[in-house]
Amino acid sequence: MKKTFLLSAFFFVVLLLTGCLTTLHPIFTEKDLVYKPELIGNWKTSQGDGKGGSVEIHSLANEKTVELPGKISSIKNKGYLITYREDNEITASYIAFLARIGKHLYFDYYPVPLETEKNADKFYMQHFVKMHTSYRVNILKNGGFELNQLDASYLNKLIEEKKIRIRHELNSDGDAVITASTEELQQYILKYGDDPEAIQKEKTVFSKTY
Amino acid sequence: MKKIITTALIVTCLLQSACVTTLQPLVTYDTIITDDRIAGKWNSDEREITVLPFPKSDFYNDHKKEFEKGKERTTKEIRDSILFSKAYLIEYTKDGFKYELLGGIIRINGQLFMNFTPVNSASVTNSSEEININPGNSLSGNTIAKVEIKGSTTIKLDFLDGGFIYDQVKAGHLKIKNERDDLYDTFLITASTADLQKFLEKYGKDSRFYNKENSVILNRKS
Repeated sequence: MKKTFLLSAFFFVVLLLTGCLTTLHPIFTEKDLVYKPELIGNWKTSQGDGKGGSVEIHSLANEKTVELPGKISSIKNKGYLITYREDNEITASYIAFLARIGKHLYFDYYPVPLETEKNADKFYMQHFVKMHTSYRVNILKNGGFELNQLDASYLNKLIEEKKIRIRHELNSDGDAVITASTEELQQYILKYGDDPEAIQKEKTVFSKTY
Repeated sequence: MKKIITTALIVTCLLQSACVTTLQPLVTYDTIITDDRIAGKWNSDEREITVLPFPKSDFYNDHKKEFEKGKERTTKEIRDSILFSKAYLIEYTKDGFKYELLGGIIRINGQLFMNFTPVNSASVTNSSEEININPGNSLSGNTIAKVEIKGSTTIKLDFLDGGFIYDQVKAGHLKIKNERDDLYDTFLITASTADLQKFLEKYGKDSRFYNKENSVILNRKS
């Protein structure tokens, strides 16, 4: 997560996980949701570069520590709260929903404010619009699962080369902010979800600790 | 916009009282103006707010090398440079964090408006490790306020009322490019800079677009 000042790409900055496709709208509708209780628990993660951490996955249905936005409470029974830790410190937390789109499962992540953000000045925080990030999910036979990020640069390249029509706004650096509807996003995933370039090669492997 | 909202909608509006966030800025390098009457130290709700020309700010000086690159600058960098030269840095501290926003002024229909965009926020109490609270996985946008300068001692900032605009857009009474997602309660104005300016030409003097909950009175300290 970038922690530099915001003016580097003046007026318009998306603060995001490097290279991951972020969208203003979610990739799922209620009918696409899949709930897998076996995902609940504590996990350790590992990536190709040797980095890793710990992740807790709770059912959103029982979660009382998080203020649910909008109408999320109506589908909370099918949702998860996913919390990432490094050195026992929470580094990120997300409201997540698992959705089947075509033949694959995908996680939609929506950020939950950390304690510092919750206590931050409300006027300042009103300038930030939370974005969704998406991951393809591969459930493993050993009980674990893998996440691969959807690659932002691949979609940006399609947009730049005018090979796709998908709703977006250009920022002052000429980068696309994806404002496509859920339906449009699903069409993109259905069409390009099997294209290896549309998914980042680096995966995060989740192994259950208990 | 002829249909005036009902009392029920006004109540909704008050409950949702918040500034509206826009993706594009209202002010760009070719429309920004300066008005140094806003510069100085101000008090608002027991909070001290400092407004100073951006090129005179510590923030600018700390990052001067990044802003003033060599001679071969891109068109965007040249435009940003013009904009920075006329912009203001707004600073305030709250609960151990210093917040910095960039303010750009524009005159529309004889009224002043200011575009705010966040620049940085960092802890001021923990010097060994600076903590930033710029949230991850978020898009940084803009807010807009009407600026009313009352003599040399008072400024009133009336921020556009996000609740009112949301209700009007949802009811189909107002057309402005936006993205709305009710599931996550997301509402973002995506109109272009030119369309934002046209919007304020049309509605900038309409009191319904402002809400006293979103008004800030600045009293000059020095």
